[in-house]
Amino acid sequence: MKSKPIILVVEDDLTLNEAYKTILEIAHYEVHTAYNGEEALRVAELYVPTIIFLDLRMPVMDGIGFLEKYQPKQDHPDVRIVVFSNYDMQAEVDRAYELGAERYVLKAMASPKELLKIVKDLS
Amino acid sequence: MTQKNNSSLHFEELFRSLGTAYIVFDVNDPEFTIIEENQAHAEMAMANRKNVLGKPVVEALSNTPEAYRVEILESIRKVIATGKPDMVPNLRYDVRGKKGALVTKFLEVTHYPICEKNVVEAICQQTNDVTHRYKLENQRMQHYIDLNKTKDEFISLASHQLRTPATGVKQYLGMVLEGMAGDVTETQQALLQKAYESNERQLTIVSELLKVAKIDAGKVRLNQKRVNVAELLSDVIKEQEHTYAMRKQKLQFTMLPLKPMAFIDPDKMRMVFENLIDNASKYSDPSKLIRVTLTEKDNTIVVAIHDNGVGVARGDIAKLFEKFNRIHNHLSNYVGGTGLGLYWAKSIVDLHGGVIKVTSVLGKGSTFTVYLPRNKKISKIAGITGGTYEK
Repeated sequence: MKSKPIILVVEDDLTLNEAYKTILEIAHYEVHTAYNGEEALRVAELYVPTIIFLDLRMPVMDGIGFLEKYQPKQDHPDVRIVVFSNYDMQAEVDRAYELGAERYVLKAMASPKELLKIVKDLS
Repeated sequence: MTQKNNSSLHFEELFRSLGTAYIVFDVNDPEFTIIEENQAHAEMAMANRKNVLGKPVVEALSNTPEAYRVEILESIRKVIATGKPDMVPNLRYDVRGKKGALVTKFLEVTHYPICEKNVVEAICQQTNDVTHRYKLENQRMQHYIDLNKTKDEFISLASHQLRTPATGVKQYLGMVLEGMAGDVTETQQALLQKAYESNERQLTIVSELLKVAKIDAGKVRLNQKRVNVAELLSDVIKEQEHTYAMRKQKLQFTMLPLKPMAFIDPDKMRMVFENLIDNASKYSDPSKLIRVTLTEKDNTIVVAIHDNGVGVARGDIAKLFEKFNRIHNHLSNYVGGTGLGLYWAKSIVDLHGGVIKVTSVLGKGSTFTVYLPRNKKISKIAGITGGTYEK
């Protein structure tokens, strides 16, 4: 039996970060946020998310940097990572898949409904 | 001394002292042996001040590279055949400078016929050192290339950046429209829907800009394979049926009995056909007929889209494929395109080694024809003139 997902949204744009948080909270999910990869590592350590929405281009530490350093906790290995971006650079996406991401979403194409559907699919 | 001798001497002196390098050679001599040389040429012949009199014309300058010889001889042949002067611009010539270092020069060589009773008897070869001019032209060209690259990078950067706030709008309007912030009245729904659509339009424009920027930066790679074009077209047509039905337009597909295989990138060519078939519909009034035909010519597949729409004026046809160019007609405001679709379509067809052509009559309709190679070996369509439009 799968328990309710804990979602981590990693996004450097303040408006988008807040929008995604709002959408997920309205749908009653537990959401944590971070504005860059480095912060995301700390938040992930504290809250142990089961789903991570990861922006690729961020200051301080970007999405790829986060993936390179991120180690899911021993007892919670089954973290689902969705990489999102508004840049569609095949090389970045390929690298993210190599590092454990399982989906890629172009932010500009994902409406709130679509975002919620992704969470449902991954729960 | 006679009058004639005097002027003869004057001309001789003039020739010898002219600042531009000249030599004269006899056309009837199979070696084109040099019979006259002026001072400027002797100086230009560099390295060793060898006197070139008596040498074949291809040895006028020491260490002449093979390519130089070929071009010179070709030019001479032209002059003999036509009796008219001929110029070889920007002939590259590498020579050892005074300190032994290799110096690259560019020469402009002109051959002037010297005729006797309309027959070319001799040729005067004029050589100008245009190295400086060539370098300047190159610099100017490079400057434009760099500017163009900067412009393309800017468009790409700005487009990516514009996506972020528009994505924010999409989320917030989306939330309200999806009832996530409580019930919405019908009027509110309608108004917000318009806003949402307008924002989607903005996102589409950005995506188109980026699509074009990618192709301009040469970053698009074709994934060519043997594709059944008839199936591809049928597919596209089927998808568009709904739109056509809404506009009460009829879409007819006919093909000759042929093997409809072509060597193309199916995803990209699909988009090209979608664009052309969509355009045919958008730029036609309701109830009009659009015909798509699949035929072949020599070793190429020919797809033609004929519409009975607004048509394009002769003078505007060439502009159709230019970036951001939208030709004004009674439907263009309503259609609201970016002016990038055809530019992208043509770029893709060009990448395939194909050709796209248009014929049109203003007020009557247009035909867009795409020629695509059947197989890998033919990388360029031969026999069909490369222009995009027929006059």
